[in-house]
Amino acid sequence: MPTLRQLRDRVKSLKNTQQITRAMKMVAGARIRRAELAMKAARPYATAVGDMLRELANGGAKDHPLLQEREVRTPAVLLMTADKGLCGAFNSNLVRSALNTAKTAGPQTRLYLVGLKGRVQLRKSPYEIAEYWPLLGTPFAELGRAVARKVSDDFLAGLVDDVTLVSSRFVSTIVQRPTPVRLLPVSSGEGAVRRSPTQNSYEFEPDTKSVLAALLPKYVEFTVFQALLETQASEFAARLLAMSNATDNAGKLIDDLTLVMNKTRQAAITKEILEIVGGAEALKG
Amino acid sequence: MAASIDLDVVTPGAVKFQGKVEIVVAPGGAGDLAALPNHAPMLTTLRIGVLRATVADGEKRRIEFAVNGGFMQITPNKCVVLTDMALSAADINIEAAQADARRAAESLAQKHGADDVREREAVAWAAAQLEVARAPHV
Repeated sequence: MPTLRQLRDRVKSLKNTQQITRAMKMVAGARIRRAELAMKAARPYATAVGDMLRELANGGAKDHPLLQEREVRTPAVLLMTADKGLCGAFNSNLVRSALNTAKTAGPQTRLYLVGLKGRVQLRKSPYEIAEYWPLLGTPFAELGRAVARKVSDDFLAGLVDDVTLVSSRFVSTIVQRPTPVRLLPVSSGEGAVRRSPTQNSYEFEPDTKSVLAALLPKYVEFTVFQALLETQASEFAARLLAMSNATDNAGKLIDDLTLVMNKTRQAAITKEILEIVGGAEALKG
Repeated sequence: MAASIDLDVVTPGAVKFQGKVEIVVAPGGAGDLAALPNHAPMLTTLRIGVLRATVADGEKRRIEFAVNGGFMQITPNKCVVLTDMALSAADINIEAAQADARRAAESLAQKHGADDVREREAVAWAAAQLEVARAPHV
């Protein structure tokens, strides 16, 4: 049986913890709204880029190094995680998904990591870490550009033959799913609409080839950018849930301990009264 | 009512403009071009420059954006401009743009014509911003 003093200290420390988790929960809640807005704002761009790529595919533009399928000798995984923990199994799930992807791809897999937690967890993995970027400190547009450029350059230089992007898809505030998507080579034929020749009369300026050459890097860049936004929104959502649970759990523990504490105190008082009464009885006798 | 065309100006961060316009004039990759309603379907790259349009709202309000490259997709009744940055006069800090223009011009001069794509782009971008802001070039 813990003493009254021990119980009191424990409740006090729990209350402090609860204060912190509650604050983190509120911060995550506020930031998730902003992250969601940013995600929504990026959606029209995604639609427009996809549209244009499809038109190009329909127009017969299929010739670009970024589209080139080749024999995969060195696969690569581009993994996005958070910089910080305390968001439940968010980072671990992403890392596990990345490891699964790498396992199927083969032991030659090179890792490109965005986010500190991924690096910490994969430092001792058998795969080579080709590059690492911290998440914080750089605006996402810039970070996305840097990551996309590095990965594309390595792909074009033949250092890697296939790049899978593992990031978190923001399904809802409750559900975030680690999702592997193939980033390179770009599969532009996807969703190409077969249309009658009369409809399919796009003109391209200066010509299909240069439009494609300009659009593809943008497409890769934007895909990375969007994945960054979704991963961040997911991180906040995961943290919101984790911290909300932590706050609730702390609350429950505090309630339980307070009950034990009160009982212990009551027991001590009862004991003292009994002693006094017992003493008085003894004196009477 | 005059015929109109839907114009969307889209950047990764936001939709900068969405509405009906009478004409769009854009700095196309193969020369400036204008799109009126019922234009033939077309997909073009954009240079760094100024995108102009006349809004079809009776007042014939003119809108201008400095765009740093990108793409434009034209169909008979819709026109989508896709760019990394589209700045209207209100978005532009004239002093900063002028400072950029000066710096860009200097570094371009130092390159003496060798591999100066980046510098040329910087100069063009600053010039486009100043044009939209109607500020004198430095």
